[in-house]
Amino acid sequence: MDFILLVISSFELLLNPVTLTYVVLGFLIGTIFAAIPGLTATLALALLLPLTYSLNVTTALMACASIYMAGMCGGSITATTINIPGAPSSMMTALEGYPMQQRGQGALALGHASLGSMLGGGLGAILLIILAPFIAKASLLVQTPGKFSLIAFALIVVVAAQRGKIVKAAIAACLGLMLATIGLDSMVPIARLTFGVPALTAGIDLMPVIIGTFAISELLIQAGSIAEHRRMSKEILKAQPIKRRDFIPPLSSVREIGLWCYLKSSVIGYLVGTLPGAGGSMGSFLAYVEAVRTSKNPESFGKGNPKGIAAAESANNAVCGGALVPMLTFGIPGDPITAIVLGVLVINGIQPGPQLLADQAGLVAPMLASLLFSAVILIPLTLFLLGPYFIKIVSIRKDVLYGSIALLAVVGSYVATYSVFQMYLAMVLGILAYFLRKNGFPVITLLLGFILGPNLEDFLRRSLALSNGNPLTFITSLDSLFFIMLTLFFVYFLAIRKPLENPATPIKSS
Amino acid sequence: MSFIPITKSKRLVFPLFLLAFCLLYFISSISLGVPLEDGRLTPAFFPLTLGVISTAFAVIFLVRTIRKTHNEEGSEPPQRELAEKNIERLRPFFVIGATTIYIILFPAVGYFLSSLFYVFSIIVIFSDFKKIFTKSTLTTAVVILGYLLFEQVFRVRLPALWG
Repeated sequence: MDFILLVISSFELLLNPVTLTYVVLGFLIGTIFAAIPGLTATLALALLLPLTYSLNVTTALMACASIYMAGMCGGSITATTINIPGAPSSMMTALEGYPMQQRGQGALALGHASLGSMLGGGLGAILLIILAPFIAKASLLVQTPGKFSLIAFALIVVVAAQRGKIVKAAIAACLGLMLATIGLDSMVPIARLTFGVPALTAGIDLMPVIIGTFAISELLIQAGSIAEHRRMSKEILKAQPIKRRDFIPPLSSVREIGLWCYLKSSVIGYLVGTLPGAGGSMGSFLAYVEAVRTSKNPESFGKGNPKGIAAAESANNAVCGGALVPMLTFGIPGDPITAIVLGVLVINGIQPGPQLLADQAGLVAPMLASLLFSAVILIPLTLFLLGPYFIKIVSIRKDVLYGSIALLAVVGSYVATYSVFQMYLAMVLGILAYFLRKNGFPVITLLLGFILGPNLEDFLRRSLALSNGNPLTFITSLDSLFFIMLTLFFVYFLAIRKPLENPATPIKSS
Repeated sequence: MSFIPITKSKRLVFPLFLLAFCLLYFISSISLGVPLEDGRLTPAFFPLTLGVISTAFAVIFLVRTIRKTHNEEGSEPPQRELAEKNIERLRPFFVIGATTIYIILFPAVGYFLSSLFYVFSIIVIFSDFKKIFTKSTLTTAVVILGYLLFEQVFRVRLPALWG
């Protein structure tokens, strides 16, 4: 209850014009990046990460929360208007939104997407605020072998979630773990695997890894797909104009969708969010499938049914609340955005983990307040005020946009330590991530491997030291056994069992 | 014995690179010493285990790629399409080149001159050499905005040409 009161009192911070400006700017940047095909809110956050050095940590976390929420709903703009989802989480929205746009109901489709995002995002944030303190208390009971098994669970599940490319995901995770082992050992003062480079003795910073894997690699990927950009720009110009008065969904249509659909989809999204590596696309897919399954008119889906939009958008925004649960309670990020938020905590000297909510509740509460504020206030407000101009915003000159991104990325990697070495490191990691992505490797597993690697090794060594080298400690310790069983359960459902059939017809991907 | 044609064998470059990288890591971790000492794990244990696991995965990936490459039937795209694709493929390498030059120039000539070169290069790589004046103006605007953001708003000290 104390934590809920703390979150409520944190809304007061939004009355501070500077904080509010950062939150609103973060939301706008997140929306624009998510709306432009090829760019993501993750990229926006990666570019803005260096700037958080100069910001108050509370403000930085609040801005991160608003970017996160915006990133989940911004993708629906191009998904609806030109059938190209701005973000992977809006794939299912495109299935229903674009047929509505073709019928001249694009604004209404965006209105439904916005309402779904608002309710899903709000509900996800409320569930997080209510449940996080309980999960944090439970997490304090996990002992050292359990902590190792939990981190191993997170890594294995992230890899298993990449169905169809599990070997590639495993290699990427190993590469992340390898990068994490470079530098001074945490228990014995010896430098490991520095390859004779003195600058590597202190290890590799999180900043060049994030900027390299998400910003520089993205720049290289986009440089190789300019023909695709030109095609998209033509499609954008062909999009029908959208009028502000058409945005508000009629009450009859909302009734037809039903409160139960919003609630159920939000809970699905929230639960999927708590699962490492699942993300908004899986949340929206499962909620959409559930909406089709329980519908009286399943044949109307794929032809512009607002219920599909409501289900998908409620779920993908509820993912935000769910994904912050493992990050705040165990220090385990579930997706790239929470990994970067974790980076903001780390670079400010705050150790995420079970103690975070107990020791730093004052820092976390404003972030959750900002998440709720972004969902309930900023999503509908942005749509209403900027909706008619979205297409103009999305058709911004790509050459200048990428020129600015390149400058922010490379200079951003310098500002953390004022070291040119970090710039080289970001570039090398960016090139590595580029080739990984070109060959179908998911870089999220690399990032999670890098972030979770030090703790994984630390808890492994501590567990074995405490048990005099007996590996059975991982089975005899009940919490560890629980996570091992959980790992087997998820591996079965994610990697071995036959997947759910996709009810979607093929659509263009961004 | 059947050989893989050169065009197809290019696909093996990345898997081979990954395998070499994992092997190099594994060999380097051997030099860290024994993995266990008096029943306790040493700093070498984790890198060694990781080296073995990653090498195993890299071998699986290489074998799968070789099989896939063998099974695929090759059909060369038309010459014109090939030339267009080659230009498209080279663009990321131009970006890498421009970024390398930028990082070299950045501490030497300062933020402004190096950034003007870099942003202009990226804009040209992402478009073409037409309307150079407009692009130069936009480059200057981006660089000034970057300066205001880093140096004035966020108080980051950027290198200058003199001191």
